[in-house]
Amino acid sequence: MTAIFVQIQEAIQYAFVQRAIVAGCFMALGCSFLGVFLVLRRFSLIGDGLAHVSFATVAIALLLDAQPMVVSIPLVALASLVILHLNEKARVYGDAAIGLVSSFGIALGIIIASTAGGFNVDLFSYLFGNILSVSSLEVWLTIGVSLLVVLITTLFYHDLFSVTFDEDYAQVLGIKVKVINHILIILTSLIVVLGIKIVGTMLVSSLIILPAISALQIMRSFKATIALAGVFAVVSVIVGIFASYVLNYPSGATIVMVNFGFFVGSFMLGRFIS
Amino acid sequence: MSINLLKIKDLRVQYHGVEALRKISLSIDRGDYVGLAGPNGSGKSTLVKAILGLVPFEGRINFQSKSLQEFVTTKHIGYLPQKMSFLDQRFPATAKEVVVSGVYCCKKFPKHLTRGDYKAALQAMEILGVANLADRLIGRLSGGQQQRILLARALVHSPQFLILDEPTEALDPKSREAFYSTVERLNKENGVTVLLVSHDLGSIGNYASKLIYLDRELVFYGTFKEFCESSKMTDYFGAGQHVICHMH
Amino acid sequence: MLRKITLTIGLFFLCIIHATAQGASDKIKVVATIFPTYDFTKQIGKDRVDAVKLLPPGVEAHGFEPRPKDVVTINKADVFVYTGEYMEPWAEDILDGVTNKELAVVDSSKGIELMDEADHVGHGGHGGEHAFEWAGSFVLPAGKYVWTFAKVDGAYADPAMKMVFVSTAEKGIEAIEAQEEAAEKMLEMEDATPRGHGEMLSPNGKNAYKLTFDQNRDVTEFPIVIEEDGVYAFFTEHMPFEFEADEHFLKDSNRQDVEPVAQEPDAGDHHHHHHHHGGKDPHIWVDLAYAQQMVDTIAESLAQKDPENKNYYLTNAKEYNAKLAALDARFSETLANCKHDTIIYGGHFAFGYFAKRYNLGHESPYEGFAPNAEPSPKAIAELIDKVEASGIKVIYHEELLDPKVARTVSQETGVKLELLHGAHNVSKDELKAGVTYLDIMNENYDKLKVGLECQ
Repeated sequence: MTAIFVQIQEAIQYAFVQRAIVAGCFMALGCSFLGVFLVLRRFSLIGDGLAHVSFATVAIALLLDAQPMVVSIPLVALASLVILHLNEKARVYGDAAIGLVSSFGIALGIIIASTAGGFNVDLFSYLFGNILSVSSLEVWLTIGVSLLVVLITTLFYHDLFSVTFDEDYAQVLGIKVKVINHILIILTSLIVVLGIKIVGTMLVSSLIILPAISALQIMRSFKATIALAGVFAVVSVIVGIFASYVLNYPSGATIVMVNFGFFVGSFMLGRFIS
Repeated sequence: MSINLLKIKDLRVQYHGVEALRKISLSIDRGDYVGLAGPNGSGKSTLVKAILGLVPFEGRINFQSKSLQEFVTTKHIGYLPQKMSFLDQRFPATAKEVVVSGVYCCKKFPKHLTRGDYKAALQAMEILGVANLADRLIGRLSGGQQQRILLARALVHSPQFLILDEPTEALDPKSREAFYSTVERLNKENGVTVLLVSHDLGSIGNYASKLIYLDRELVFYGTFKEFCESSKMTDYFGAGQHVICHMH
Repeated sequence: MLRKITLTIGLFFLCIIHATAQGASDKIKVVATIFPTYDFTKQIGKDRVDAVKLLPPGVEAHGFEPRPKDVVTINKADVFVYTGEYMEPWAEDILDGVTNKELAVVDSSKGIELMDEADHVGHGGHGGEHAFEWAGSFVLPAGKYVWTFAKVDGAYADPAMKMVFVSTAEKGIEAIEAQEEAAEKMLEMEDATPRGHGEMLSPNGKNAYKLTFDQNRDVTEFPIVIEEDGVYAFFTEHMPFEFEADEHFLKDSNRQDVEPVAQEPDAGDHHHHHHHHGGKDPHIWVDLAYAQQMVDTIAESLAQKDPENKNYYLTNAKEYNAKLAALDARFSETLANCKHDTIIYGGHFAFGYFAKRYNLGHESPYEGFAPNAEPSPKAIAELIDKVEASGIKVIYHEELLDPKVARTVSQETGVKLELLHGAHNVSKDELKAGVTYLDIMNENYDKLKVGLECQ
């Protein structure tokens, strides 16, 4: 046990580990907060879906010799709005809407990559980040975006709750349902685009889905669910990074495994409670 | 002396080029218990949506002498919607959280819930006899209990006018009875004006004092007595009229 | 009348143009898979061949899979050059589907012995927790002993290796545990006592020995003299068994085997234990001698396919190889006198053969060449530690990929980020600018000379 403690102390000496923890925790917070709403509205796979769209947008950016982020963020936000409108107007189920936009994104990206006659860099390596390679700037960006997400979900908590629980009644209550939906989806696209670049798709997608469904196993109240999802997410990052150091595994995958462990735990606890 | 609450004049609603409601004029007084009936597709829900400001309309709707614009906040109206399909068994909200969400109609940004709000929620639940369910998950309650929670949500901001849209479709007879007696109590003891929408004339007959019969246009509006004595209605309903009136 | 003349002249010119175009397309079509083979082909064939590179620029080589159009291209070609079954595992399948019986298929790795992925590992490249791969404690009565290192399958598992040799008061496994920390420190130090064939080893508590094996011999021997009976511990960078051909590695003066009383790791049957990680290192082109061999193989094939231009091809190949040989000599000379003898690499190390050739070690946080593998935090931490311990001022990264890990290490240690181009593939801009293999290797020469602080 002390050996593990010693290794943890050792790990935390490194600046890259410190940055991984800070960026990871804030990313976890932002993703898990939004995750509860997204999962309940059947938009769980939006992380993966928007990642596929990012692929196309980065291909476009490299083709135009522009900065990937500058092109990605608005285009991915646009794609997320398309998903939203497909869901609302065309009455397409949330997950199917994501699938539609996502496959379009990947196909487009592949075609661009093929016909572009090559690029100056390998697309994938520039698209997907890694939690162990987070720069100081990226740490600040993560803190900023996550605090924005927390702030907005807090300010609009009741509206988001009403819209998620009963969209029609929310309209009766005078809540601007369209505006709330747009806010939710644009916030999501923002954190997903940044998340993919900073910590990678697998981690972003997992942090959106897993803490939320783990919290949903222990249903106390809506507020408790959001809080619990946040706790699961943040703790999983900290435990995951240290565990990956001690066990010599890649950090992103370890964090996901820890999340899975939390799910199993809360599943059993949920059964036990009820 | 009856005080007018809701006045509708020459209401016309068009949906995708189809006329859903045509030239509706009627008024509802305070304390009335009005039933709204009509065959499927006759525009009952449309009328409700128009009153709630959810669809654009031509004509005038005045609530307490004030004209209702589109999308105005429903401060004075409590609404129990028709569908219950959203009630996912796994939705993680407590009954209390659902009921208290009814106050959002009347709050400005940023909407902050006060202790007074939670108190009002509990009171509404008490009136409906479901206060003991406050911390239970809404998805896990029975159909009847859920309906009463949603009714509490409709009442939490103390509205003067309560609109119930097909409220007992999914309920068994016993729950149905319990529900209607509660509504009757609200109407008789608390003075809440009720508009009950149902395609089941029988239910309406048992409780409401007035009846609106709609078939895209106003076929009948008056008291039940007037309905039973109307020869026009005899022509319209045939033997059915007798059945309805007999029940009343 | 005038119109008729103009028409005739026009047609005449058209025929000429068509004829020359035909003549031009009489050039043989050569399809190469990755950049090095493509460049070699162009250097040999120059403008008398139509060379095509399958790998689009900017794309990562190891993840490449051919598209239908590529199969057609190969089918229409006269010669198909690939690097070997480990670099292009898909080649065999594709060739099965090719109907062109006239297609000459060139495996440019012909005649080159590939080494296992792990065999060229430098210092601690296994990403393990220790600087030594093996430790053993022996009870040695006073006397003379010989420690031997043998070539296996014609080569030493490593051209050189560090060894720590200490006397200890403890016994058995405690002897190893007690000396571990000191041994690690000694192995990580830059300063090591060099020893070659026939040179004596004795217990040394100050620093490690750097044993260099004699390439001209099949077996390199190091005599050991023990003055006092006692327990002695050895810590080596590689398993001694990797250097065993037929005989046990440690024998006494009577040629009897001497076994350790305790060792770490404690596996079962060690003898003739070869360290295979499954795959072989496919990056043969980074070794300038192998590159020359590849050039010869390709030239031969072109000559066979196009006998008219045989002399042209062979002459060009000879000239080009001379350039490669010259660069090889420069590398040899310069890299023998460097302050640092280890390449710190933040990516997938493709320079195994290169490092082996010039006796350099390397550190990388990755094992193997799967481009999607992610490094563990410990591997990165160790890399950081190694950089700080060695005092090197540069960390190298690979071409075309975002150098995430290298950047992280650079940020933590303050060392400079430098590209060490593996020449798998070039970027779109590089292709347009006509960058060649020699250009790349010359750049690498400059980068290494500065980074490793060579004379």
